[in-house]
Order: sequence, then C-alpha cells, then structure tokens
Amino acid sequence: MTEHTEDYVRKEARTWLENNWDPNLDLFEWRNKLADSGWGLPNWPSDWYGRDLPVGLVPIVEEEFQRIGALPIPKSGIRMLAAATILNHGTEMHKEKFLRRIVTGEDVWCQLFSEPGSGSDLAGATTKAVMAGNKWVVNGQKVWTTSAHKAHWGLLLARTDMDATKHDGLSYFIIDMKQPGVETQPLKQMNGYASFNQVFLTDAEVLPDFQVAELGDGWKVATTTLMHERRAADSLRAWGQVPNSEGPIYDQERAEIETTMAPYKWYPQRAGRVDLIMQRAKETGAIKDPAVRQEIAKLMTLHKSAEWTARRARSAQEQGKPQGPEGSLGKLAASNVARAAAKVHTMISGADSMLSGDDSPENGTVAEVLISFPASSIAGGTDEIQKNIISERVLDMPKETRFDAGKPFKDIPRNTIS
Amino acid sequence: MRSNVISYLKVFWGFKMDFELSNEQQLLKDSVSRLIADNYDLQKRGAIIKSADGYSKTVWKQLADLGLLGLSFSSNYGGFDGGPVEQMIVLEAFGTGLLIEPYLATIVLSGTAIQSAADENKKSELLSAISNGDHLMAFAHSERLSRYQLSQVETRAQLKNGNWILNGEKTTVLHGGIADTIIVTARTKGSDRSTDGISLFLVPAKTKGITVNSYPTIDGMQAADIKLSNVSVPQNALLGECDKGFLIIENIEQHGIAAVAAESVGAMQCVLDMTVDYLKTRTQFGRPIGDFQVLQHRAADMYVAVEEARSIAIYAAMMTTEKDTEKRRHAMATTKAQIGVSCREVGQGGVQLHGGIGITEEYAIGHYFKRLSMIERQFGDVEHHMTTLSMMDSPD
Repeated sequence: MTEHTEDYVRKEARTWLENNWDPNLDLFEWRNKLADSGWGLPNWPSDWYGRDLPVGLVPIVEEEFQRIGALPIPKSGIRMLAAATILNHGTEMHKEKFLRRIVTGEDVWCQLFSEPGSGSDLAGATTKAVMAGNKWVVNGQKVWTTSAHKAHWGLLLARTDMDATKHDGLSYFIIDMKQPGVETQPLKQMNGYASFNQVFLTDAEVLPDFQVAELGDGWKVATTTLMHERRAADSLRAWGQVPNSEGPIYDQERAEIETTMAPYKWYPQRAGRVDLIMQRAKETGAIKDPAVRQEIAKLMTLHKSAEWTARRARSAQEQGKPQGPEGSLGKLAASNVARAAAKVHTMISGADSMLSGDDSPENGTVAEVLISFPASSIAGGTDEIQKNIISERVLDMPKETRFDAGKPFKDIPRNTIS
Repeated sequence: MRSNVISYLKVFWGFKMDFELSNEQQLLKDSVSRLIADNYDLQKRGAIIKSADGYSKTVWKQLADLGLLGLSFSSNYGGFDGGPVEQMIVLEAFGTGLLIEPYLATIVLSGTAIQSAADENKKSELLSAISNGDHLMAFAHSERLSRYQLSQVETRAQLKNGNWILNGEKTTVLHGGIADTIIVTARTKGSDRSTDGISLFLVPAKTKGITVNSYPTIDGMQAADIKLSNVSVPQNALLGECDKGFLIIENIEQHGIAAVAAESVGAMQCVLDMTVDYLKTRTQFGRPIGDFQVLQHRAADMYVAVEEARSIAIYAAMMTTEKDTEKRRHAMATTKAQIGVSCREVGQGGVQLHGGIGITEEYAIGHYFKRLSMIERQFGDVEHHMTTLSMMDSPD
C-alpha cells in the first residue's frame, strides 16, 4: 500500500535513487532496474513497470531524478505512443511481450498509418490485411514512417473489410518489421534529412495474436495513438536533448540518442528555434532596427501564450484528465510560433538566410529553420485538419457534408496510386 | 515558483467551463454568476447605462454585500484576503455580463493604489469604505498628450504654506464623474516625461477648483475629463513617497491589465459561444451556415484566440505578485499585447460571422464588440505594448 502524498513520494523516490543510482552502471542494467522498481514510469500501472502514481505527482519524481543526475526513461519517439496504445487496448500477451523492452529502449517502433493515397484522410487507408490460413497477410504501401528502417515493430492500420464503411473496415495490428515482406526506402526531405520512409508491404505476415482490439476497431485504436502524438507536439517538448554530465552511462545514452534520435535532429529547427532569436538579433545588430524589434516582440508574445497554453494542457494531463481533441489547440499554437519564428530569423539574418548548409548563420541552423518550419503545420495532421477537429469536436459544429459516410469502402472514389 | 504555478494551474485548468475550483471558489463563482444573470440582461444593463450616474447603486450594494468589493483586500482592513485566482473568477464573470459598474476604477485601480502606497490609517479608512460600497473612487492619471506613456504628467503640484496646490487637466478618467475621492497624479519635480518626480494625491471630489466633465465611453461606461485649477489639499493628501510615484502608477496599471485580461476572457468566451450557437442555427443555402468550412475555420481561429487569452490572463494573474520589476513589466506588456490581439480576433470575428444582425443595437454581440474594442485600447493598445517589449530584453 503506497501513500500518495507529495512528501512521501519525494522521500521514497529519493531513498530509492540514492540506493540504486550509479553512473557506472550499464545503461540497460539501469533501465532494467527502473522497470523492476517502477520508478522509470511511476504513473504506469504497478503490474506493468510502474507504481500507480497519480500523474500529478510525476513531476516530483522527475525533480528527484534531476537532483541526483539520474537518467530517466527517454519518453520521446514512437515507442511511447506504442506503449500508450498497448496499455489502453493491448492484450496481456502484448503487454507481457512488448512493454518491458519499450521501457528499456531495446526495441524501436514505428507507426504505419499514412499512405500515399490517404494523408489528411487517414481512415482512407487501403493497405489490406487478409486472413489466409492461420495468419494475416498484408499488402500495401505506407509513407511518412519515422524510423521504419530501424524499427523492430510497427503499429499498423490496415483494411480488413472492403464492404464495411470507411472507418469500420479498419483493424489495428502489431507487425514484425524484420521480416522479408517488409521493405523500407528512405524518403528525403527538402531540408536534406531523411527522417521518414516509405514502407512496402508485400505478403507481410501478422500472427492473429498480434491484432489489437476487435476486428473493425482499428480506427478507435489509431485515435488513441494520434491523440498521444498531438499531445507531444506542444511547444514544451524538447527533442533529443543530450545530457552533458560525464560518465560511461551518459556516454552510452548520448550514443543511443545519436542513432535512435537521429530522425528528430531537425525538430528544434522545425519548431522555429525561438531560443536563438535574441542572441542572433544582438550578434547581427538587427536589434537596433525598430521594425525587426517589433517583429521579435510579436513572436515573443505568441511564444509566451503558446507556452502557457501548453502548461495548462500539461497540468490537465498531470491531473489525470484524458487527452481530448483540445490537443489540436496546442498544435496550432506551436505551428503559429514556428511560422513567426522563421520569418523573424530570416529578417534578422537578411540576405544571409539564403545561404545553405554550413555557410548559413549558426552553422546552418538558420537555413534549416527556414526549410524545416513548414513541416510543423503539416506533420501529425495539418493546421486545417486541426481546425476541423476543433470546430467539429470542441465547438460541436455541424459535421461537414461527407460523401464517404455510410457507403461500403469499395464504392468510395479514391486516389489511384501508380 | 513551481508549486505556485501548479496550484494556479490546478485552479485554472480548463478549456472552456472545465475549471477545477475549490468549494469556496465555486461558491464565489456561482454567486457572482447568479447576481449577473438576475441583474444584467441586456435590457436592464441598457437602463443602467441611461441612468444619470451610469451605474446601478443597487447592484453595487449587492456586490458589496456579497463581499466582492473587498475580496482582494487584506482582512486587516475588512477584506477577504482573496488572491489573484479569486480576482480572476470575479472579473471573468463581470466580463460575461458586461458589467459597467465602477469596479475597475474604485476597486482595482484605486484599491491597488491605496494598498500599495497608503499609510495604515488611510488604508483602514478607505479600504473599508470602498469595500462596503459607501465610497467610490477614481484614478486620474492620463492626460491629453499621454498616449499610454505612463510618465507623461504635466499636471503640477506645489507645496505652499503646508498645502499642496494642484493645477492641470486629466482626461478619460474612468468613472471620474461619480467618484467621492479622486487619486490624482501630478508632477512634483522634473520635466513632463520624466519618471522621476511624479507623486500621487488623494483629492476629495468636492474640493474647490475641480471641474468634472463626464461623458459615456463607447462601451457604455462613464469617463470624465477633470480640470484642476488651484486645487488645494492638505499635506497628508500625498499618497506614498513624494516624487517616487512612478512605480506605484505602474503597479496600478499592471493590476488594471491583469483585471481587464480576465474580464476580456469572460466576454470573449461569450462571443465565441454566441457565435457558435448562431452558426449552428442560422440556415442559408438549405443548411446551417456552420456547415461551411470557411466559417468553421474562422470559429476555430476564434477558439484559439480565446484560449491563448485565457492562458495569458492566468500568467498575468500570477505575475502581479512578481517582485522583479523588469520581469513584471515584461509580463504585463506581453499580456496586454496578446489580449489586444485576441480581443480583435474574437470581437471582430463574432460580429462578422453574425453578418447583418451583428451590427444591430438590439443584438448582444455588438455590445461585446464594443467592450472588447475598449479593452483592446485600455492601458495601452497592441502596438504600444509591442513597442515597449521591443525595447526590453526578454528577462527569461
């Protein structure tokens, strides 16, 4: 029986950390300790590597980790979306098989949702899973798949019934990415990175046990995954931060970040790098230009509002409120900031912002902001889709006239992919 | 700071009506809302606007009886020790009802002046007098050439034979015409724009030499131009330290900003709710106009603007007690800039999405538009605060 008071939790966490944290441990040994004790993800169920702690008390535990310098469980990447989905909808077998290696970071995950023919209209997926003999056989093409080339497991949204309506014909699977039927090709972006992949599924196999939730419930499960993704898109999120302490375990984590977090390297630039604005304005002397200063002030105001909007959402989360469609608010606010920041950065740098690569100011960072920010209002659902979500699900406005509702999926017009 | 943030956020979490209030706070919210629902429909409000004083003595007394006037004052002076959270609850509700009572002038602006600068005697005398509703006050600071510049004070005060003699002219003094006591800012030394050399004075409105010219503002409130010709007040009318009034004035304005920020959130939420309702019911081209995506997206933009205003109003409420002057200055300029932007987006969007009916006098939306347009400019418009911010280093 655990007590859930702030002081008690702090004392308990501190004692445990003092007795167990050791910077000379192997990274995975340490994460296994975190999994066994539940201190790595204390708000998770105590049956599954957590301690049943109310979400509101998690910051207390995080403070104790920071105080002693202990490495927390990395909470970014698709694997945490997989964890949230499995905890919500998975079977005992799924939890048994996957959760521990998610906690330790041994398995890389990817999300196989988007397709060349279904972007904003995610539920229009045409990748098919057909039961053949005693397993599912999957055929189709996925796109925008972060880390697919490194992933062990994929969260797959596939059509299992062409006669059912669009949403009802989808099912959700966990697919083994290291099998012959799965081929990945990197997708190069205009900013030079290749964070995403195209994934070709040709008679790829999924065992029946690896279906998540009921047949036809795929959209419902995918919605859980997506809401967690949007929540992660607020402006408080830091991507791939490297701790700068010295010691073998830190080196090990840095090396891991270099590889597993590589696809996220440009994410800070995508968000606009507001943190560099003042420094850049002073270095270049642009700070003396009143027109530039006005734009900086506008940006900072926008940034502060977005930050506090994100704090409110975070606080709601800490109080254990379920993630709702309001996540779209934080996402819209973040893309407004990114857009404004790119404008101000280029105002500050002037003609230099046309330079690419290392010649561009800040060793290429400014150029990278300029060619990366458009992704923030597209990835994870475009701004326009977020506005649809707000108007239909927060403001409860009439649903737009749908031409695909109530019809068998096979009768709905869709893109032809050559 | 962190635990503070958490406790405020616990209270203020809430997209829309989803506040997490303590029982006392919920009671507070309910009682203010009830009072407004009972006394402030559009017709009753219209009658109050047309009345000679431009406010309702009955409602003012009710606010006093509910303890709302003394809410944020110290219990040492008959108040209720309410914090920024309680203040926000009340003001947000006022925004919902478009209250035109002299709350901002008497309680927020003058109350802050007295709390932060008066001696013990004056505090107990004036704070209890304004809390029980018997005494109205106004803050006479801005002048014809001010343009939101707080240090612009041409009105002069000179000490002669143990009395302060005030000369000058104040403009748009909120509820200046009904005040019993006016707090007048005047220059006791230095040039017209210097921050050094400004002092505050408590001046009974009936004092000889004061001419008050009252007029209604666009939102139905009352303001006044006040002329001071050789107005003589005793030496102890000085409020706070001589020549050092600028920081007090700034503090008063900052409380004003936090207050109108909260009020505007209440008003903006109403505009959004009304607009969304209208979009769902108004039918054109054979379907509710809310069916059109272009209108849905405008409503979604309004929603984002309301929520950002709410976030920044919470931030402002917290920052009113920040000790670091620069940080507080920066925070309040940021707040007022965002509030201005949101007021514009929501006020104008609300009218636009209503179409023709939105510009009529009988329909509520126009009244909200007027109040939001007023708040957009009160204590500095967007451009003013953007300029202020652009001159400052970000303290974060």
